[in-house]
Amino acid sequence: MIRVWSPTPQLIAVDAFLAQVDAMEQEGVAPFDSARLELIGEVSRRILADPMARTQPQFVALGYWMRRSALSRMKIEWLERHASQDEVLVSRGVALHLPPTNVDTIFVYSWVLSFLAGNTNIVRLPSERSEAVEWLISVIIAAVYEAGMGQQHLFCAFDHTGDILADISRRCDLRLIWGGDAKVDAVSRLPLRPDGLSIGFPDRTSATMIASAAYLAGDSSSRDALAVALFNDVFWFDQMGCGSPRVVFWVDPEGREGMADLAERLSQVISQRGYVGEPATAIAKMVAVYGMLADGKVHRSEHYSNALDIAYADIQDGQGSTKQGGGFLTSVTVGDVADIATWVRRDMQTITHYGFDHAELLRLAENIGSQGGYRLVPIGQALMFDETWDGIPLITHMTRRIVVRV
Amino acid sequence: MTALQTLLSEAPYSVPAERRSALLLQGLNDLTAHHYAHSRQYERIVRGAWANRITAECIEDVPYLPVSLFKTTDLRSVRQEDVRMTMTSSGTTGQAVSRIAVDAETSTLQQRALANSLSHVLGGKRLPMLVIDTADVFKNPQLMSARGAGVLGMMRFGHDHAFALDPQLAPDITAVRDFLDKHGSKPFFMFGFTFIVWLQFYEELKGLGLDFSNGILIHSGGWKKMVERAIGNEEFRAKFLQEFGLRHIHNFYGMVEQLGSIFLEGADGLLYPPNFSDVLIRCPETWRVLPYGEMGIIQVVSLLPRSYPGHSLLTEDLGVIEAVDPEPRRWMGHGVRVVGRMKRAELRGCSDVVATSMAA
Repeated sequence: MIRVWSPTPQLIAVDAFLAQVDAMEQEGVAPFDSARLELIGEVSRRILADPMARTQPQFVALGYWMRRSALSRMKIEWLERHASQDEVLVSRGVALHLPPTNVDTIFVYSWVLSFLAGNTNIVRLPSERSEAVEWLISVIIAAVYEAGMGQQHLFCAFDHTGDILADISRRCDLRLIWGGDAKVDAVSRLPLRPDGLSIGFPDRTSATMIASAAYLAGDSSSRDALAVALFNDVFWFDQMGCGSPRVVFWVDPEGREGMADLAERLSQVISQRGYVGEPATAIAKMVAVYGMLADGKVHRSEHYSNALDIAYADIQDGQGSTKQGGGFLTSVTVGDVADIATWVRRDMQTITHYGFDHAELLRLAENIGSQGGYRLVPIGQALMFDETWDGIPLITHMTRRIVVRV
Repeated sequence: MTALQTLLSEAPYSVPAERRSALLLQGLNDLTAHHYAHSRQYERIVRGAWANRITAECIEDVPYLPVSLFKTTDLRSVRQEDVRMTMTSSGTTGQAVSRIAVDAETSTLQQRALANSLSHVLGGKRLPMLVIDTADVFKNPQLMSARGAGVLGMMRFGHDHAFALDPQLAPDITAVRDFLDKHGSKPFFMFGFTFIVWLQFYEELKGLGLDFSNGILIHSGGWKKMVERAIGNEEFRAKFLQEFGLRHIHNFYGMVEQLGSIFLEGADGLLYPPNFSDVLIRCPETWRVLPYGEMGIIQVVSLLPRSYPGHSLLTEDLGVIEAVDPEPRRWMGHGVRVVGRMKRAELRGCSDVVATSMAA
């Protein structure tokens, strides 16, 4: 049995569900269809108007991202880049979205982009759904049903066991797998339609870099503002988001850095926001830090509170284990942005930055190109979703082109 | 005499808290210096996280390591060729286990210390022993983890061993009756793990009118399964008295990371560290030592670990000190009540942990 929201959750038999998927095969529409833009804009309005959203900062970010005006801009930019006389842009077909269990807004981003690309969609909802997520689901599904599109967009939940995922995958033209290496690996073994496209979002790690001179030249209020921006990047998903920074690079030819100063300010934001580190997380971080000290991966550590530990490393010591979240930053001082390249591996996703000009950022991007790295964005935007994600222009991959030659 | 020798020369569990602290401080500082000199890993930790604090002014200030560090990091203060055995903690499949390097010296210290502690409740000479487990526990290599090692370690302190359970952990009633016929009229020693003692021994043998009134039962570990069944220590004691006439029961708290140091249950039901050990309770927010009577995270210190830097460890157990020096010559020092394991950490994240079964 599969639980399908239609619009309230109903259990339906697998065969009936698969028949519904089969019926979706040719129901796609052109990319950026105006009825669809309207619908997403309406969902945005409802999210932002509800007091519930105010308790969930990630819902506010989501609501803003899918505002009617933001979507119009996305449409114009995308069409400017891709529209051509010799090609007709069309949807890809049936898309399957497998969002992560724990990051509660990814399923919406994934669906919205595919929806705008003109596809029909199957969204497997996270298995653990908080009350807030249940609310978010209900808002979206209500709007979809009001627009009469409920039969083309199936929001559902089903077990990992059994052949359901295989049976659905076989009927899909597009599949987005969110949730780390092991999940991407496991799901990728299941074939799509022969011409289907599967996109995996594996484990990623992220960093931030600060030009020491710019930081040290800043006054107290600008440093505090940076601490607030860094707080959002680090703590929104308990530092477990793909874009959550784990390393802070201080870039300065004279070796100056401001980690202790920034850590103090960050500590203040942590207590102002009421973010509390669980004791078990604090101990897990202690184990991680001591292990890195023992291995010589870092040479010093400071415990500020259960929510914040800072370790200090030299660039040549190489990367220690940086998977521990919950407020654990490693500070590394380098002479030049290009030095950061030695640290970057394929799994590096986002490097947020402060105090660099466009040319320096481009230079770093070129330097890390052969290794990894997918986004260089200002501090405070680490978790901001973008249509280009992990280096993949999503809407482009969610559509196809019919070449027309005269 | 070293601090350890002094403490071991006193009657077991007899050194009062204040005098103990002074003696322990000297011994712990010596151990910090010893491990600092002999373990590059430990030296880096003390340097990097403890501002190079080799000599502490009081026990509270002695650097400590989180006990789980032994699951992730190879920490020892002897050469690999001098490691006589590597003790591992029990753990469910897939979980990381602690690996503790023990050399001949530390092993000898552990045995001497354990003998010293056990003599407190068993008396000076070895007693006939009923093991509440199966003889397979150390024949079967899969069981020869913490449980097998624990049984084997305790068997040194008894003679004429009999095993109360068969390999399927069903009671071997013939063996139990034979043992009681032979030894039941004089003091004898019984040992087993708490949940086995309860589930496989008490539950199975109750109602048969067996007389264990001369027994001295020592048991430990596995309270998690007992908590699930809502069996507390009080009830455990009451049932054994009522059913078997068994009144000499001592639970103990110990861990593979500080083998040889057992916190024995005193007459008041609290757990007392042996002379050469102590317990501190830390606040899980500030990590400062809490006053008596307040619940927090248990830190244990012991003078035994010389081959690995385990003399000062932060556990993941919650406890509270409820008595200090209550009973001269019998139970002195800090009486701690172990409340349970702290809540596990669960962080959100992009990476799913459910994937392995998914493609099947």
